[in-house]
Amino acid sequence: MSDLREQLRRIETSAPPDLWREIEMRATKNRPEIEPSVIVFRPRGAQVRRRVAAGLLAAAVFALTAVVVWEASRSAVVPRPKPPQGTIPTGWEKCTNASHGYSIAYPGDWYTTDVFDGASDPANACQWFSLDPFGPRGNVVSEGWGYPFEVAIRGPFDQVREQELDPEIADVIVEENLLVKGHRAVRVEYETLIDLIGETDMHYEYLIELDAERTLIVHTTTTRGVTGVYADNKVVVDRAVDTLQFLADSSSAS
Amino acid sequence: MDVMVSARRDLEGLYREHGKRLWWALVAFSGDREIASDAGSEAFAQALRRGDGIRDPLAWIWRAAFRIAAGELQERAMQAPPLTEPMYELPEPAAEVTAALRQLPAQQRAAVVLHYYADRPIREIAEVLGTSTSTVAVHLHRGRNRLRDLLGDDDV
Repeated sequence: MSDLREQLRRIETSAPPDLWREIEMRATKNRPEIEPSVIVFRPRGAQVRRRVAAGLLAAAVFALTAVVVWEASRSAVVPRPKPPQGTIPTGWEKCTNASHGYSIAYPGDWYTTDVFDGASDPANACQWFSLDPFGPRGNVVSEGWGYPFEVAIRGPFDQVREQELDPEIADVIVEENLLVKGHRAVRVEYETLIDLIGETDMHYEYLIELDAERTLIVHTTTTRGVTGVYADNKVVVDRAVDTLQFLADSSSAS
Repeated sequence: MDVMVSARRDLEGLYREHGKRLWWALVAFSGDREIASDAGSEAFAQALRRGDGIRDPLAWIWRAAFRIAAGELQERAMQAPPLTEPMYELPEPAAEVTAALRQLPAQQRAAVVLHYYADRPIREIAEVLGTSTSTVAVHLHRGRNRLRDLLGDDDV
């Protein structure tokens, strides 16, 4: 009888297509090089004026965007009038995952489930939160990022941080070290560099050291298909992190 | 310019040597030739665009291709209910194996394909999945047990 490797090799039933020409076409398609034949000649003065106008317009858009982003992040993270630690905002629900030892709150009109692909498991509790109801099979999207507000448990903090912010994968926009309920943490926002045909995703998350072996990630993203407005989902993540409670801390304190 | 030409030649060499296995691994993971071709091409194309700016191009391409394929699967899952049958007909042995693999959760399936089919190191699989090596070991253990049931082979 064959082993698993041989079983899997049975998939090779024919020669795969030769994709090298397709690869070269894709690689050149988005490259910012212009063929001389497509350059349209314009009088130099007009060209300079056009560039200045475009530059001014870009600067104005950039400034406006910066103000909006700064306002959004300021209201989301910095000196928002903070409720006492662990206080749940009005209209929010508390959710507890005893397996991983944390509780977190989420907006009361959102949905959560501990069912993954049809199987309920208490260890999945309080990980996936969605504006839309989950079907009977629960989370059918992924075990990764597929919902507007997610919590995940990963490995050791430094290792997870290195993986999440690998410069070959992520273009880091925000990286802020902080403490969450006395636990080492980092708040990050990054854009993925690996994309499908020019589409990249934004990710906003807190990595929080649960213990020496585990990191808790509270996350949102613009990944295709994720519902809601990214800026609003970031605020939900910020507020949810404010409500985090670590059960081991509570029991050791009492 | 010489650097670009050299990087291109190196990548074409990598494609000639590893492209076939990557494509079949993506078919095994996604159950779909179209996704396999799309994800494999896009990963190589993005590596080509980056020239010699990637430390380990082969590991980078495996990681990129699987993440792109996972994104495609995720997008399809959100657009339509999950399919119980493969989206494209494959010849019998391949159809049986992909049908069994499709019953594993995505991370388990990726771990099994990358480890047992593609012989990628566990550290690299952890990077593809964005998880720890110990979690990969759990995925492999569970995936192997499940495939043993599904493929009916005591030696699996």
